[in-house]
Amino acid sequence: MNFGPFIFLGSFVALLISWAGLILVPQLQLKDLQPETDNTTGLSKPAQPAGMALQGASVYRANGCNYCHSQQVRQTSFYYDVVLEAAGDFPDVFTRTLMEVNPKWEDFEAEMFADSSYEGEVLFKNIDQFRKNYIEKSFENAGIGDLGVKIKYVFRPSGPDISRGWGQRGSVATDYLYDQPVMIGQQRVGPDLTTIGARVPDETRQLLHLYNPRSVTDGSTMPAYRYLFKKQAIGDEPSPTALPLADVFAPEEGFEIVPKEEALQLVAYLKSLNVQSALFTAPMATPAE
Amino acid sequence: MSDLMSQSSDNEPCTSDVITRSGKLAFLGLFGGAGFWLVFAGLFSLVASVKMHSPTLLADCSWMSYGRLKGAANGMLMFGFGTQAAIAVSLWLVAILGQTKVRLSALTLGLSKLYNLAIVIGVVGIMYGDTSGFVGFEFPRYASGLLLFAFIALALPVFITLHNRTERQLYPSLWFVIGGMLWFAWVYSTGILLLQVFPVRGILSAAVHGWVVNGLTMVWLLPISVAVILYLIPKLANAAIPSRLTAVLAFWGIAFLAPWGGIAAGTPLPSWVGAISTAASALILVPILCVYYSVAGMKPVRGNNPIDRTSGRFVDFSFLCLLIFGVFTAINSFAVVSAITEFTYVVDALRVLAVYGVAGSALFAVAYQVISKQAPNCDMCARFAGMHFQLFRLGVVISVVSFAFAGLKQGRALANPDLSFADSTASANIMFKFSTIGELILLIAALLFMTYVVGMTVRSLMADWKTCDWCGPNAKVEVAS
Amino acid sequence: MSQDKHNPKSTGSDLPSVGRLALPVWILIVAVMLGYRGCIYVDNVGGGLSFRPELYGPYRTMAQLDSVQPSTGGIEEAIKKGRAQFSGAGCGACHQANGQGLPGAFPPLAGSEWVLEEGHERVVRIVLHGLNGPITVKGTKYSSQMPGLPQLSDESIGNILTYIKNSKEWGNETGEWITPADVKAIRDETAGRTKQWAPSDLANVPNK
Repeated sequence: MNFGPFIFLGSFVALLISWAGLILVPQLQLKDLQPETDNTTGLSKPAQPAGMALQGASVYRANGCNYCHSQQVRQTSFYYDVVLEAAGDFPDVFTRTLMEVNPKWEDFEAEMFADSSYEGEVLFKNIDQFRKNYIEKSFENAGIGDLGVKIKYVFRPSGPDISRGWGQRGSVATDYLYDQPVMIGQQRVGPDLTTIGARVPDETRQLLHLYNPRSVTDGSTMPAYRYLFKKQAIGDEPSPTALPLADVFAPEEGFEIVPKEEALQLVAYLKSLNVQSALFTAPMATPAE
Repeated sequence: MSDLMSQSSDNEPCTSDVITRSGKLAFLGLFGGAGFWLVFAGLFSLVASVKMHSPTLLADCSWMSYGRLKGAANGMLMFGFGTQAAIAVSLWLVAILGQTKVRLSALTLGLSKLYNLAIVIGVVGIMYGDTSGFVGFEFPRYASGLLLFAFIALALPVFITLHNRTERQLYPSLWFVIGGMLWFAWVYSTGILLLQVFPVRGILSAAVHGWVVNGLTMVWLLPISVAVILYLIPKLANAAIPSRLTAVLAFWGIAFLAPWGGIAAGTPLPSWVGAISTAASALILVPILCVYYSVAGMKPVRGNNPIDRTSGRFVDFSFLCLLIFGVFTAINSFAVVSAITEFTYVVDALRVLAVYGVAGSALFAVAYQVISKQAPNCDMCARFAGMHFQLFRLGVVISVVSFAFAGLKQGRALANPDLSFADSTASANIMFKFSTIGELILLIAALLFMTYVVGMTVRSLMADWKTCDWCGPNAKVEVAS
Repeated sequence: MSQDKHNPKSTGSDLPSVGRLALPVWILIVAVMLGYRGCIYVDNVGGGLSFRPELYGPYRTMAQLDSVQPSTGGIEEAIKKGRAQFSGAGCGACHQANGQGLPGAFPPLAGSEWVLEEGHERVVRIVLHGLNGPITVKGTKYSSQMPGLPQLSDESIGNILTYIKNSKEWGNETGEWITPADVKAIRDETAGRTKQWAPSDLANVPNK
């Protein structure tokens, strides 16, 4: 029997199933994804890129920045801190309740409530949601609300990227809504760039870094992108956009380095990679009051 | 009659050698192109790697920036070398296992030139700045469309030869060939359509990109490599695959599981997508174990002549790399491990292991079997082949091991927020330097291979010229009376 | 294609053969183990078979995702709704969408001391019954009159006023939340009134 057509058909069906699962279904689920609106400012999140930033995205793509830099913050988990806001009128009763919830809380002294220095005291730090629910329930059952006690549960996403300051929460699909193409990258030979605009807002520093990374970061392995700049003779007076290079990196006497249009666009794009905003699918930390 | 002039000598019995020689134009053209692109891919990779150690090298030329060099190198390696050689291997396998001569050999030669033109256009486009932005799928639209057309055209001789086979029962390798050619065409055309012609919105392009790039390795190069392993190892070892059922499971396992990989668990897609992709990646180990069972214990390196021994070594190395690749992919699917290895040099290690170690070795094994028959052999040629293998194996081992260790150190430093980012690159630096050495060795090995192919092509042309009735030294000249 | 005139199964055929052994059991065991582990993984990490597109990263179920949402507290909702209702009710026609009003004609709301003053007694009365008479807002005198809008519901008035008092774009951040109950209390208190308020009357109303 000639199995040839059967194998062809079977191969077709096999790939069709994976195509449907990984491409068709996500497309159906996410094709109508909309940006969310900020409650207080009314701005859309994420913000739609425009002007120089949009052109800068094209420069980013054309120069293959995504071979070394990623644009995704990873979140591995989330934690709570339990913060005491007001100890209420019956500190002894509250102390007893607290020790029932966590017998290890032996050092807790009722005298702490003598003045208002207890406000903001972190009772429990870095607890997971299961434990937080248990504590919340215990407090409710003990009726601490009647004692005048106020407890705040501070929510915090966590992960190595977040601890490192690369972002406040994990990246989700809505963050990439306006990216064309999405350049999440595969390697972190260089740092993640999701919030680089907020971490390094100084444009001059970004330009210096592009011109010669080692002038800004010692021992950097990033290649120099000198072709994004042009060397020109200094005219009557130095150009306002000329780079303030240190002596070792500066061109010879009488010459200055001026960024080309592409460099400025790229820096505008990097500046637009700004802070993250809270989304329904990706809540952020409870803001400190 | 010279072989250049006719496809079939009707009275010759259809032995393997005759079949291999019947496709001379096709094979020399395709393998020649593959070797050419392998050399350039190696060169570009090496320059890119060196730029990381010496950042001001070539810093004034936009065409030589790191990202563009890497993009061009990826394209040349996967499509110029990998796909082209895999087409040649497919053509040879259908002819040999179907016991029929190669069809449309001269047309295939012409189409391979068209294919190479597409690659040239793509590489120039990338270096100019038109890269698509997707790692592993960099060719701009105008090049990728032409490449797809050339590929589909090149698939014609393969399927026509298959259709005209005289041995009707399909040996397991042919299942992988049939599947692989269909899958490449589909995966690549999906990439063009959904990423370049009608781009999908937002993060979906990352999903399509992941599926396409995974497909290019796992359902194109990997099945062709398995096809080679399942044929050459038993043939060179004079043994037989023990179980048809295991081969069946290997094929359908790859068919249904391999395309699902490619999306990391932490991707910003809904978590079910990454979870299913990771779970399927782990299961890839099962078809690979089936391949292991099929050829375990066979010793293909005990061939009669040096070329057979070299082919045996190559295919054995490919098999070993396949096992390591399968085990590592399964381990990498665990969240504990991928949290460390994601975004590190481990990605490069797996790439070198898959494209050079598994696919490259298998393709070279067949290349030596095929090209060595196209011209009378010589000791020097066989020695080139042996040197090529030693250097190639050394290069792959150094590259993979150094990338893997660099990646693990980098990953562990990245996962520790107390260490600054600079510490993570610094910790990986030494092993990364070794990987540059690995790239250099792979480049030299590629040059050796190219020398072999060019040398054998020249020898073949000279042999044809010598036996040519109307053009060579023995040409019969009519004396005007 | 030229006719192949050679034997189908020629001599010297070196095609490898394929044996008939059965599938080894250990492969099946590995397959089952990996398959089982995969299912558990998808269940844990991928939100099981719910395939929800809103679940990302560390959030395992929709219930969990809902539980970690910041408590919107009524005020965020009210501000959001108030923003929409501000234009819908026509307030923007005079006070402008940016709250700057029209110099000489309509007083601004952004930074206005009447808005920022703590308490809602006066502003609710203004919206319910209107204002007639010269008032000074941010140092400028305005003398046009504002019609009352008693036809708006308590909720609308509450939302709009909450928005006006908390709009970050305008620089108003009083943190006050005017609930429908507040509006209803004042409406009941002033039931039967149709006349617009004069600024001097309002000055006598304690703004609590």
